[in-house]
This record gives sequence, C-alpha cells and structure tokens, in this order.
Amino acid sequence: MGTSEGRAGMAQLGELERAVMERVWAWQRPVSVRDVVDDLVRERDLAYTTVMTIMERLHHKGFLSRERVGKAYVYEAMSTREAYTAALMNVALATSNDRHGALVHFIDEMDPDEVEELRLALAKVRRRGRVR
Amino acid sequence: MLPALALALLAALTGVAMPRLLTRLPLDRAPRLGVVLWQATGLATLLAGALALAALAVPLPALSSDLGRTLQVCVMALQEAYRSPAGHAIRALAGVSLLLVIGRIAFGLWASLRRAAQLRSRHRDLLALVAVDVHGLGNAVMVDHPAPLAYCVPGRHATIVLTAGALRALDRDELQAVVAHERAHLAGRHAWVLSGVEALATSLPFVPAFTVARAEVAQLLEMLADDAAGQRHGGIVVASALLTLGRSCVPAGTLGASDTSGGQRARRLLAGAPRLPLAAGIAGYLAATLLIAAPVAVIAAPAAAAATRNYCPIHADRVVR
Repeated sequence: MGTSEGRAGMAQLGELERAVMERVWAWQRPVSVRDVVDDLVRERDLAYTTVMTIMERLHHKGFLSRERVGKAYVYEAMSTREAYTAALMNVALATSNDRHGALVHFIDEMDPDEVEELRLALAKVRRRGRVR
Repeated sequence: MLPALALALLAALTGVAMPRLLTRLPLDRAPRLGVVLWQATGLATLLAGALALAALAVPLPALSSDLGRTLQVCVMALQEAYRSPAGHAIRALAGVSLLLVIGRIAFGLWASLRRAAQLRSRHRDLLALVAVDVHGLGNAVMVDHPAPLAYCVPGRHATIVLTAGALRALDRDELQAVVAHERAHLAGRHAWVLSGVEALATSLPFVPAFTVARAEVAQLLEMLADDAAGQRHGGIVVASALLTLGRSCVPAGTLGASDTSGGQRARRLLAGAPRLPLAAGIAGYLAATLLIAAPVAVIAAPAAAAATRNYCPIHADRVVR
C-alpha cells in the first residue's frame, strides 16, 4: 500500500495543490502567482518558487488555464470544484461495469426487489442471533 | 506428431471443458481456491496451446542433438518421437501462429495495465483536488457527492474513496466493514489478477477459459474480500453494508434480474457459507498443480521415454549417424 513516507509526500503534494486551487477558486478571476503567494502567506510559509511550480503543475494537469500578461502568467481555474466532483463521480459510476480493474467498487450490481427480499432475510438472521 | 496432438487435445479440454466444470463447482465455499483453479485453467490452456504450436513449429532435429548430449539419450530415439509430420509450410504457419499468440497476449496485457494506470492517475489527480481525508480511517478519503459509492483506487498510492452519501447511509460498523473489504482488495493485489484475466479475455476472446474467467474471478475476489472483512466485523455486517449501498445501485441491464452478483454475495454471507472440508481443499490445490504440470509433462514425456530406452531404434531407410 506504499511506504509511509511515500504516502506522506503524496498527501503533502495533494494538500498544497488543493490549497492553491482553493485560492484560485475563491478569487474567481485570473490570478498571478504573486496574488496566490500573498494570499497563502497568511496561513503558511511557502516560497514563491514552490507556488509557481505547483501552479505550473496544475496547468500541466489541465486544472488551470494559463495566459501571458506582460512578463508573467495569469492562471484561471478550468472548472469549478462541483464540476470536478461531478466528473469524478461520473468516471466512478462509468467504471462500475468496466472490468479493467482501474477502480474496484464495493458493490456494482443489485436489483431493487432483490434488496427488499434480502433486507427481510437479514432482519430474520439478526432476530435469530438475538434470541440465541 | 503425438506430442502436438496430445497438447492440442489438452488445450481443448482445459480451454473448453474445464470452464464448464468450474462453473458447476461450489467455489464460493473456497473463493481463494476458486481463483487459483481459474488461473491454473487459463495458464494450462495457454501453455498447452503454445507448446502444441511449438511442437509443430520448432525444427527439432537441430535441437535434439543438443538435448541428446545433455540427456545422454539416443539422438535417433528423440528424433523419432518428436518428428514433425508436416512440411516446411505447416511448420512456418505454426511458428508464426505461436509468435502472434504470444505477441497478442503480451500486447493485451500491456495495453490493459496501461489503460488502468492512466485512469487511476487521472482519478487520483482529481481526488487530490476535491477529496478530504476521513478522520480515523487511514488512507480513506471522502468526496462530497450525494450518491452512496464506495470504491478503491489500486496502485502505488492506493486510496479508498467514500462519498458523503455513503458516509451518511452506512452506520459505524458497516463503514468499518466496507473499509476492511477494500483494504483486503488492496492487500491481496486483486487488481493485478483482474488485469491479467481481462488481458487474456480480450486478447483471445474465442477461448471460454479466458472469457468465462472474467466474471467468475471478479465475483470470487469480491467474496474473498467479503470474507476478510467478515472475519473482523462479522459476515452479517458486511451483508448489511452490501444492502445499504446496493439499494442505490443502477441495475445491470436485464429487467427483473433477481440474481445479481451483489445479491449472490449478500445471500452467501447471510447463509454463513460453509467451509470446504480440508480434504477437498487439498484435492483442489493438487488439481490446480496437475493442470499446469500436464502440458509440461506431455511435451517432456517422449524425451523421458527415450531416456529410459537402452537401445537405438534403427530404420532401414535411415543412415545411422
């Protein structure tokens, strides 16, 4: 399941990327790296180059669009947090019956009538357990 | 000639007849053994088919003189046993077929793994942005979405994902059971098994052993994870979790399907699936070993037989070297 330091590194990266995206989402207009650094410095100690790298990476991953204004770049979110959440869930639902094993669902196939029938069976088993 | 024929027959048996037998066996009583048997069947079919083609294709007269030196057997006895009846055309055809089959499977496996890795990588990027850690559940994260879903993203940075809807629907015990189930998938590297099975099924879709294995192995792996979770939290709790999340599942497709995979799993847990007797389990693992050993034995048999002979068969129309 990955080494603990690998996991921590990954979590840290994800956390920083999320923090930057939150700021960009909050601004709701194109922002420069300087804007985000000044914003974030209130709660964390981040270097300009760190934030710049993160925003470049987010752009590379397709989450931020980038435009050159003067000497610097300005970045804008490609989509809202809700849109990304919805996209995520669409993929998760779509892979439900895809057996490539990209994602492994807890359950992906059930019939409503079957559920009702099994609920009754479950209740019966529970009652039996209590009586014993 | 005989090895090639015997191997072809073996491939037909393991590829077509064995799957039919396996679907009739109560493998849900021993899911791990079930997965092993399906994998052994697939591997045996692959081996038998490939070795059959190899026996036809490989110009063994050139090989056998080396084998003979190492085995200290009569070269002619070996040649006699492995003599390919066909002319160069069939030999070439068999050789090309063998390369094609191997190439196709290798490519299929590579493509399957690559696609899964790409999907997971993208999924993890999105999760990094919108998911939050769930307090007290290790590497589980929550996505703020109303639909109750629970799944895991396997791979190097494996993650268990629960939606807000799932956290609302599941009670505390059910939640633990779901996380334990997903952890079992990750610990057992089940995604790798699924990728392999999928690769074989898409590469060679005309072989029942590969195509039937897809659904069967997936279901058995789910049961395996159910059992792992059930050992820690109770099978009834796992069944309950299945029903809680299953309620909001989109039905697979066929109308009025009353025997879905989810339903089968819940029923099995509620019935408290009986364990397989030790003798049957041992027999099963033995059968799996024999399945894989069979093609190897068939191709090696003539060499072994020749090794036991202590004279050289001489034909009148052959020059003795």
